[in-house]
Amino acid sequence: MKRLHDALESCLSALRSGADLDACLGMYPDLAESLRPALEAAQAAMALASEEIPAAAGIRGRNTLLAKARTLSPSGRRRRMAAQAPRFAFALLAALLAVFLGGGGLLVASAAALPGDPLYGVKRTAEEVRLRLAPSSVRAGLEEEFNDRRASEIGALLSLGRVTPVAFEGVVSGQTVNMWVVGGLQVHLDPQTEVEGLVTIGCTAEVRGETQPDGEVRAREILLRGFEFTGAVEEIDDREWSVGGETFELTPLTRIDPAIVVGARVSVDVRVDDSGHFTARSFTLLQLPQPSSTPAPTAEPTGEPSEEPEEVEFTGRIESMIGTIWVIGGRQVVIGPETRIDGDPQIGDIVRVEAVQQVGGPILAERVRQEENAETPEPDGTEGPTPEANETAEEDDNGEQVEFGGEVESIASGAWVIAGQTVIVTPQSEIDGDPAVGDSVRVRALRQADGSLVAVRIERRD
Amino acid sequence: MCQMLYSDCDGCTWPLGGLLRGQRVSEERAELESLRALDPQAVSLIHARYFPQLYRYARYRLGDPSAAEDVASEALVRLLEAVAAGSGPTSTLRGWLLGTAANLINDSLRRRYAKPEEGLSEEIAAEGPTPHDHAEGSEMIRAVRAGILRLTADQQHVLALRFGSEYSLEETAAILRKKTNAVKALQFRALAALRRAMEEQAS
Repeated sequence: MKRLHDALESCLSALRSGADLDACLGMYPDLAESLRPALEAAQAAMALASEEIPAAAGIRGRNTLLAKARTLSPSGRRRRMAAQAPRFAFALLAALLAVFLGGGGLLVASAAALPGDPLYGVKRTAEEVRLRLAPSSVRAGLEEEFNDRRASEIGALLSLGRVTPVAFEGVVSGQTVNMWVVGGLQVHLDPQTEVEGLVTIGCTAEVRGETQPDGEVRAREILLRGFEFTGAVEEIDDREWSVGGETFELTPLTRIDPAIVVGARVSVDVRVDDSGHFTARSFTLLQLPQPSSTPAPTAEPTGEPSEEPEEVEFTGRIESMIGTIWVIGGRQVVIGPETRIDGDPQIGDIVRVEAVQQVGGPILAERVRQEENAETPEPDGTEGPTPEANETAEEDDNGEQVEFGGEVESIASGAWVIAGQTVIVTPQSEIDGDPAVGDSVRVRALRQADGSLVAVRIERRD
Repeated sequence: MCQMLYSDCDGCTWPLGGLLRGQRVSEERAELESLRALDPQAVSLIHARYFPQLYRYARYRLGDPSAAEDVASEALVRLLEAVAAGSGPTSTLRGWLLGTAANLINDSLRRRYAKPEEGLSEEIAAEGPTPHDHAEGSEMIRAVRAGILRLTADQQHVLALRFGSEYSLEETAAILRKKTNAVKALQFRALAALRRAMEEQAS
């Protein structure tokens, strides 16, 4: 039973990262019958989650709690106001004592400090130390936790009506001319506010400014810090990946769905550093490449199509080996715990695959036999780069307006790649026909002084 | 977005692995210390941190947004009362709050079950879909909600933590004070029971 429970947990992780049910079951063919009902129920159970919490509910809850705190306080508000100065003195004394007594107490004393408080620097320094000392595997979680903490602190500052310099990160969920919503907080922009990077709804931005008594944050500058990017994987490398015409650097913290192969559609969680550099925090599989789009010249499928699992045998070169999914001769092959591996096959080797395949399902390897290793040179039969199809460009009279057609290769918030060209999409861009990745579109854009293209209109062509 | 993809793979460490869990416990103790003074700042911070977690948990189990809001608020109020009385959590603040919310929900469900005129799942199934239900496909959502209400309290608890609040296996084990293998087994039984309940609902 333990193996079944472990398999369920692995499949749940795979489902959450975008894998489909059959691919998950393909990893545990002998347990598929028991796993399927539980996983189908899990998919239904997941559909109930991820609902936004009504803002009004949070405000009501906080007011109720603060009112309760007032009633529970032994001598009410007057005592608290009178206690402000001694409490600070006590806190400082407690902090000094804590330093002499080993430092742990100081952290406790600073835990509730807000920006502008005397102990706030201690709190941030302690966080910085924790981040630096944290193993790489937990650092991303810590960063997220500290960001949540910044938002909570600012919420507390706003509820107290303090004017204090603050800096925080959050997802942009609303934008008007002079008011944005970042991380659930209202951020006021004025003509002096500097916005760095193409920050649109859905992006993560860092806001630097100060809290105001009227319950909003006035932004001095707003910097693009992260965004979601969707596209097809073009190249996989140890240090960087090419996706949808963009290159993303990997870090030791980058999380990668092991089922991703070249040609798969993925979502990239992109981090933007101070110098505007893109690094990938995670690659999440959205869709595996269609078998028809990756013909396998050396494949020799056998047997007739039927509802029963079909026996498949073919020979091909190993193109990638990520987790339990290998790409051999252009086909994705699931390597299960029962798969027999002969030799020590590596990427580039020629292998013979004996497998079974449900109609339309994954290829489940029963045996992979090494026939020839990569050291043996062989003429490269790969095709050349995809010819640039359907792309024409034309300029208007003054040479600033550009029109061209082509396939949408990727869509990220604010930037699309169409026929190999990055096109900036703004709220003013007119999008016609709800184009998606893979669709053919006609683009009218304005070329900026720096060479970038800003879309005026993108129209889907059927 | 920031979840690890594989919580149980060799070499992978869940963000709330041993070291961080120890750090979180010490932070929770610090939060409790500051809360004992009933300072508005500390109260606001506790609310900002735990209300969303409690609301999601309760919403998942009860389905009703206003009931979820009541449960989340009441759990936090009970925390204040307990802390002011010199009791309250001694080890994990989050575990205490979620345990209190679970008890409130169980009480609420018991009261609703006591209605003689109709069964609870039929009552839920007969309720009109919320806007969220419309967005997600109302038939399936209502079937899941009705199915969840037919599970045992422990089974609801584990599904709400894993799927409603999206806690990791290790976090769920810490909250339930069970070993991870026991949580895996409970989760499997809960999902199998949910599937059966949904099938019965459909037939």
